Amino acid sequence: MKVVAVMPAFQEESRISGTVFGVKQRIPTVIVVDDGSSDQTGQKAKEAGAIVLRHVINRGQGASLKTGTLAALALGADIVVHVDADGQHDPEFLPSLIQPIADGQADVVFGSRFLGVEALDMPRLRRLVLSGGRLFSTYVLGIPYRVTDAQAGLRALSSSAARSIDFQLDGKAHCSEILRWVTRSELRWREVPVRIRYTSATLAKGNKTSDAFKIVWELLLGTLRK
Amino acid sequence: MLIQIILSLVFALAVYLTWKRARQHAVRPFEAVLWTVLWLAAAIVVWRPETASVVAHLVGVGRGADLVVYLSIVLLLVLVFQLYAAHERMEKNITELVRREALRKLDDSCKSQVASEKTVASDPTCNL
Repeated sequence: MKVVAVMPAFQEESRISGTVFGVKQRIPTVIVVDDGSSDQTGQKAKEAGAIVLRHVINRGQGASLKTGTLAALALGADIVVHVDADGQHDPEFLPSLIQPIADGQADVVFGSRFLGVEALDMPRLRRLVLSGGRLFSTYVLGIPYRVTDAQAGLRALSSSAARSIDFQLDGKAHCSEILRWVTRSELRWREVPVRIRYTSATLAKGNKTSDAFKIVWELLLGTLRK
Repeated sequence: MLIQIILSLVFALAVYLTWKRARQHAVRPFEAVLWTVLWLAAAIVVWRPETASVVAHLVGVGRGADLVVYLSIVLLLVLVFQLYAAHERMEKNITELVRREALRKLDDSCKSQVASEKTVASDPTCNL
């Protein structure tokens, strides 16, 4: 069973090597989509042993994930795993994400930050925004409330699931977009606990708490579009 | 009086530009006719404001000037929406273009290597 990790990366030269190295311990084939970075992100990822695809201009995390997923499928992946490039996702949890699909018990597995494994140093404001996001997901977007974490970004998809998901949103709203698609389809999905490490570096660069508003805006526009 | 002359000149310029664009096939003839009618109507309202009031009374709006403002807002909203839709389409096309360019480099030698279960990462030629 061939597993391929897909990692969208934008301006991550300081962290990409470590992240690729960590993920490669569990998933040997890693595709990094360098989303038009102006720094050495692509070069560093290549040196760390990843297959690097490059967007010539920045198109957003959702767009990069789609590019990477198509590449993974073209390489004959049976399971595609989406991982963030900034090293927030603890690679230790990757096998538990892949296992249910490998066992044929699920088509899509989402990592959740709220299933018992304590996140390291998650700021209180972030926790509040995320639970607000859960309410928004449930009552505005119609994602089932039993989804505990709509914005984790760590997920594994079987090749057939990856092929069937047609994600349209280029920005950061892809998490909710994929969730909505999956929970409304016939695909079997589940959540498994994962741990996220919040450090001052990832908090400074990654999703800012204020990005929540941007994501909500993109999603509302996305809902109108369909 | 002066405002009437200035606005009339602006409308005349608008009609001229519309047909110039139509000759360049940037605007469809049907659209050009619509725009011409719109500018002519605007000119009539400028020179004979009471005509707007007649129409306004017909649809139950008090003053002609109010009706003009309401219609302008609706028209502007439609135009903004069209622009927004066109902009979204363009963004999507750019993303698709960038994606194809990125994927083109995932060449066949790489694919066949993966198929034969060698590790891609160990081969530098695959790191495009």
